[in-house]
Amino acid sequence: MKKIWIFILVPIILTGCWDQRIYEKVGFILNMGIEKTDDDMMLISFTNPVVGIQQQGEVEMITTIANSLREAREDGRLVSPKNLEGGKIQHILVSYDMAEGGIFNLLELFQRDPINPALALIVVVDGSPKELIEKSLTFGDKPRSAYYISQLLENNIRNGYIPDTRIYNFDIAYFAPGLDPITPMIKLEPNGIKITGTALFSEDKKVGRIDTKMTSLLLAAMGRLGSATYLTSNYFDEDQGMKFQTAVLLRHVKRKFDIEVREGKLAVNMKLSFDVTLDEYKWDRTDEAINQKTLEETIAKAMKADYVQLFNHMQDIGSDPVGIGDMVRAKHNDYWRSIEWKEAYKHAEINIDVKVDIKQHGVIK
Amino acid sequence: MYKRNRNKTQPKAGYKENQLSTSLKENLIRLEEAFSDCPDLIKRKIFLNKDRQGCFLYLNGIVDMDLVQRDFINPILSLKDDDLVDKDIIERIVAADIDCHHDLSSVIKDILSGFTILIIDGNPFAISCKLYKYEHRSIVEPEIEKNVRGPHEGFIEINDSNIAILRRKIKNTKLKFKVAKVGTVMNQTVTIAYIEDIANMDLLNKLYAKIEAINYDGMMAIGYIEQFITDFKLSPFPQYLATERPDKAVAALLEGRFVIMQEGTPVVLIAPISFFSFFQALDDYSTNWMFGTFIRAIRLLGALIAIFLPAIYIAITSFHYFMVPLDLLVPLAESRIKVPFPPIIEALILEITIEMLREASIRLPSYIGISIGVVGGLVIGQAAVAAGIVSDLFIIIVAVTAMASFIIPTYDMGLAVRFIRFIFMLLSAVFGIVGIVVASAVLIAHLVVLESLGQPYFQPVIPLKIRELKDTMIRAPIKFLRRRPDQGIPNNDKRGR
Repeated sequence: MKKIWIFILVPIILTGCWDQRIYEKVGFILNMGIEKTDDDMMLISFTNPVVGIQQQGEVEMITTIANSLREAREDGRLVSPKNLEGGKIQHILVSYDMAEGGIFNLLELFQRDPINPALALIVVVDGSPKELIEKSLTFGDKPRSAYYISQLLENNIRNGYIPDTRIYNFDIAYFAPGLDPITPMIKLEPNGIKITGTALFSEDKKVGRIDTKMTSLLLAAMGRLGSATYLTSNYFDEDQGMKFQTAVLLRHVKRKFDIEVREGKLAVNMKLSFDVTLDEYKWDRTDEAINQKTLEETIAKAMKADYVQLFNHMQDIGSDPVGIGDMVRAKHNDYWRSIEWKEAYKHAEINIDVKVDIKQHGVIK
Repeated sequence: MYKRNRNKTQPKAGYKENQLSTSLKENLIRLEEAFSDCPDLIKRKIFLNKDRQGCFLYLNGIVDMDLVQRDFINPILSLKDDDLVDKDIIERIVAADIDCHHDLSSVIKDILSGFTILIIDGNPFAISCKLYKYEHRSIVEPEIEKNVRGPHEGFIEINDSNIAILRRKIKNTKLKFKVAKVGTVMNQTVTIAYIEDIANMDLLNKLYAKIEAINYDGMMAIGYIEQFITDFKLSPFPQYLATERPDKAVAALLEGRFVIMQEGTPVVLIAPISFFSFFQALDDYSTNWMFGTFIRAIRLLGALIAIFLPAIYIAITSFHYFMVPLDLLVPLAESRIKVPFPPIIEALILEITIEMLREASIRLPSYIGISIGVVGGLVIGQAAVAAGIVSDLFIIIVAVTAMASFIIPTYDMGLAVRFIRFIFMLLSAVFGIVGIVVASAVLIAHLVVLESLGQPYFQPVIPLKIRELKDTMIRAPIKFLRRRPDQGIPNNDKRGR
């Protein structure tokens, strides 16, 4: 019996409580911005909500110049009344120039320290993250900075306008040989922050960008379709002298990839069939069945054109977020080993076939 | 007491030890010696015809005086002297039960049991008349085990009445009672009830042997017996189900379990039982199965909440701040910022206050209990937050936890859960979520090892009995519950023909 008590007591006395972090004494870093300074150091800014009896909705912002994220946190601890911890970081805002130089090494900390979340979103900022965070503190009609940005990102991820790229998604895409990561992009506007689209990466270096419309198509091709609305102009009303658009809600997509290697050349046949809901349509005589079919064809044609443009762009810049490389590696491994993938991807023939099926059209047919 | 007296008298008495003498005087001396300083012993001397002397002996208060007067004393006095010597004639007296004893120990035992004894000068035996009447309370619904749709009666302190209650419910000769004696001083009767064709005889013998082996002066409550016959004395979990409800006892008998009844307490023990028996109530079965299932699921959820919730709160607020969802992050911090104590101290202050409140309200008369509720409610609900001793969120957690532990229908299991909660709280304060995980693993391991009367306690989950799961966390419709649970290893597990 005595031995059992010793076994119980020893760990409690020796190891208990050493990593205690009492909740109200922790400063939760929620935002984090990383950019380059002129003298090749990192300018790191972060915010944590101030919690106190007098304070209401105040946010503390700390900016520091450092060579590593850890150094920045320790610098911050020298200033902040709370013990700053990175466990609740919601998003990491990376500046354009940082992203172009490769960001994988920046994220080292998040892979090593288990308390730092691999769930933080990686976001590329068009402009300076520091400025963006600073300005975001002053928006009177928006929630606290970090809450605002995280709600904004979350809603647009759900709508399928930006990809859901958390640190672990980024890592997976980065480490997979035939797959490239993409991240959301935001920009500071005079009275708000705007989602501008998606940054395309080649390995961990940002190489290009697309807008939100293309992002939703790209996500559909990746099988991660949100509930995005696709707009295409279809009709010019001569009486009003205005152009009108058709809006469809993309509900479901079926993807089929067919990869062929013909005489050392790669050909990818991609078939996408969408189930859509017709949301808005400037109509004249849609009551005839033949018109629904034409409409479907028109939309499919427009989408196909967009897809061709999208894939051409991605091939040009050498970014492969869809994972065609992965499919080639899986199905034609010999071929994969015989080529330099990035080169082969640029010259691959990608045929796109889009089908649209209007499943719902509201009360008016 | 009696034994000790006998040992004393042994050396100086010349007559045959334990035998009644023919001399009334001698017998009375010996009885008076045994009953010295017992003012409740009434001796009523009478003169029969021919100057023969006799003496009625009984204990005041446990004898049904009216009946004894009518059916025993009167007939005796009307008998002729010669007839008083004849056992056959004496046994024709109208009183319900008449017996003759030749030995002193039986006489003393009968007097103590509330029988009236007549000793007549010249007779080598005593006449004993079994007309006794204990003062007892009426049969009412047990305070701590109410139910909605079942019978509203409860056991009482008198063993015979309790046996009668069971017999009234189970009109079958297969309902058997095995009697054992406990309490070296108190001389109490313990009765094990079982149904012959259903219950397992090996288990019965095991249980009987355990009860027989108890060596203690007296059992104030059935909890004494429970502690003596419990196999795992270091476990916080009750291994016998204590109840005051006859319907629960009957249900247990029908499942092949044993009901242990003790003279002097309205609480009976049911064995063998499983962990899940403590979360069942008659109402689960007496209503529609959907509600039964729903309520039972809520009880088990309640047990989980009662054990884990404060511990998880402590773990999160002292170690794992990152587990708090973003939207709760700042509100929780705002409620904690006023509190000067670390979470474990905050939790202990409030939990111990609640435990004190609960303990106070059990022992206090109900009219003071109301004021306790007001004081407790005010102090805990308002003042503690206003004074910054605890955070508002923790008040809610404590309230939910308290309610969750109230819905466990058995008091013993409620106690166990409350006790375990504190262990979990302390471990989570030291090790965080790791402490909770390890403690839960140990808890489950303990439950798996535990036995009730040699039967696995965590049955039917471990060892897994898929067939019986339908009456564990859920309560399947009654038509599917056609087999008796394996817990009591019943001889015949089919319910109905």
